Amino acid sequence: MADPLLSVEDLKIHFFTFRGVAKAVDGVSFDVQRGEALGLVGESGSGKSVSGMAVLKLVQPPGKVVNGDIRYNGKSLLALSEKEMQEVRGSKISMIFQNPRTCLNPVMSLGDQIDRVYQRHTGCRASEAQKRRLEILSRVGIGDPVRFSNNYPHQVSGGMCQRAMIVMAMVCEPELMIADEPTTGLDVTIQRQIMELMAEMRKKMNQTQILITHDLGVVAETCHRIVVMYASRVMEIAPTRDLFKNPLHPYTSGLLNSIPRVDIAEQPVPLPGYVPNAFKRPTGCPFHPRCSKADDRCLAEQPELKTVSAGRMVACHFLET
Amino acid sequence: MVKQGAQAADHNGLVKEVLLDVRDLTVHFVVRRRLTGGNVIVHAADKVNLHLYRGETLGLVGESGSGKTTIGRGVLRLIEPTSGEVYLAGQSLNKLRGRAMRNLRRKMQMVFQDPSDALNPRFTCRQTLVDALRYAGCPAGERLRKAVELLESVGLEVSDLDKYPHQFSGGQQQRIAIARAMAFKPELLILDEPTASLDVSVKTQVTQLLRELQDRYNLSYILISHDLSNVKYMTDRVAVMYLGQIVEVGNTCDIFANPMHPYTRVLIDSVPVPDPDAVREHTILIGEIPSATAPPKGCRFHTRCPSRKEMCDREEPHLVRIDENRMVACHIGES
Repeated sequence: MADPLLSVEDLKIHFFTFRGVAKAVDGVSFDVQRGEALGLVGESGSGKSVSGMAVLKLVQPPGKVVNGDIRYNGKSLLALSEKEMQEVRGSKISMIFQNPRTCLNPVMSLGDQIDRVYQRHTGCRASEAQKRRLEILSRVGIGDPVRFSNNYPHQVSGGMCQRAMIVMAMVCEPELMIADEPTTGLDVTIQRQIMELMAEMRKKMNQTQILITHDLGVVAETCHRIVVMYASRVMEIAPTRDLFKNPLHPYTSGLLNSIPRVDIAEQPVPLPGYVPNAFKRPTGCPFHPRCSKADDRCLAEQPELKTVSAGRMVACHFLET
Repeated sequence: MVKQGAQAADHNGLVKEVLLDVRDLTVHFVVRRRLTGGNVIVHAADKVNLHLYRGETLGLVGESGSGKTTIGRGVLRLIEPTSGEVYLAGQSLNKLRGRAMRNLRRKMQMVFQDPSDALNPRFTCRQTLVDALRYAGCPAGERLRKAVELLESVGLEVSDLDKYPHQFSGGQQQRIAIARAMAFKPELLILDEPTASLDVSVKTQVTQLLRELQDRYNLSYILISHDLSNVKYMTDRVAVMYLGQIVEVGNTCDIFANPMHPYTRVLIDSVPVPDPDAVREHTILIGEIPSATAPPKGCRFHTRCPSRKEMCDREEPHLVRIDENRMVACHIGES
């Protein structure tokens, strides 16, 4: 396989709080290939968002990257200074967040906020940034770019705010886009519009994307490969089709069986138990308290993420040969 | 329309009792524009007719701003409807005031989206439940025993009694909120996005709990949700809302198998499906739900409808009965 665009190696991010150390990410490794859309799937507290933030070095104290490396085009991002990192953010790697409204500046018009990003990275004149903004806005299907630009975040809907965020993230044509729950909280109809927009960006600009979400339907329709996370660790990595047709990890199959679906008549079977607390992760395999197959070994020994077939990796004692 | 207190027979010949009957419920909010002068009326719900049989679950679906929650709150009179009538088991709620309304409201409880907001953070689980039981008229000596019973009925343990809400996970908090609602021995539960804030693997647990409780106590549910997968799993009938009006009602299996209103079809097609091989039609709905202050003339959906006709922007379609259970408000299907 060609050199990956981004590779995360044995990443550990711990939050040092008064209540103790929360291991938000505990030994996570995955690669992102050029031009692909990678889905990072997991429930809340699985460490998927923190992993995404770490790529842009946005983890704030009390959180700290305590181990591992993140390589972008072969170079370590963690070794960069804050000043060097600022050149990367927005121009090479961008991120869009859930809740676009809270991420936008409420006292600045949407247009000005977009222009600011472009001017910061290109150093061009205001008129040039404006031209660029109008061009991109009409490219993403906004009917009246001038009117849209004059709006303030509170004057437009959540879907429109998300679009402004996306435009802001893509105005410099970054190679890599990290989207953290970009459609959560939006209506299904608007979600569909945003999904189409992101797919188009990937095709037209040959963008690489990491999609962080808990929605298995969204990743099934948009991603090439999927990383399943649970309790700060990677459980399974597989091409999308393989993952849905033949999930190997008990957590993945349990999760797939537990969601109600519009497309099939079968009844969902709930997974028993709850997601473990970040301060008190279970010993051994983090999934063992909820796993029907778990035995003594799962309780004592943490399974390693191992390649089981081409492109497929699983962390489960039962799949080791 | 179903007659008040009437009984309808289903295809198995079983007699179904109408528990809740909502007639022409209209809720308008007046928004005062102090600076620019003049008032604006938000048409949150316009002449909504609904009925709910005892023991069934009715889903209310639609985009945000379609008026689903308004209907739920209007039924409980948590917001005062502008006009229209609501009957619970044949009794009109409109004239009730004060104590009489409070007494009747015990039969109708609501479960909210975010349990961490719905529970008092300074009350232990015991206090929350005992408090509810006191209002439910349970004698003082029996409250604790009842509280334990309630707790166990929602799958929690006695050892959880003295914990505060923050010590529970979201799914457990929602269980406590459900237990609290059950303290009143309600006949009707209005579930406003009960699983929207929960984790994927926990959602189905809570949904299943609600179904068990329904079977055990013959409860009737109104499920307000934009999660169509969950609606399909949980409900017997569905009402699809758009801009304050019902555009389609029918049995859940019929609606999902054969949506008749273009809006229903788009909603169902838009749900992402966890099957990479699924071949599906994606009609992308252009634009967003228009403002409820000035709903479009004619059919309210005509501005976004993929299959609109010429007459749609002039004439307002009315709900037309297609068969025994199905009603649709659309000009396309009319011949």
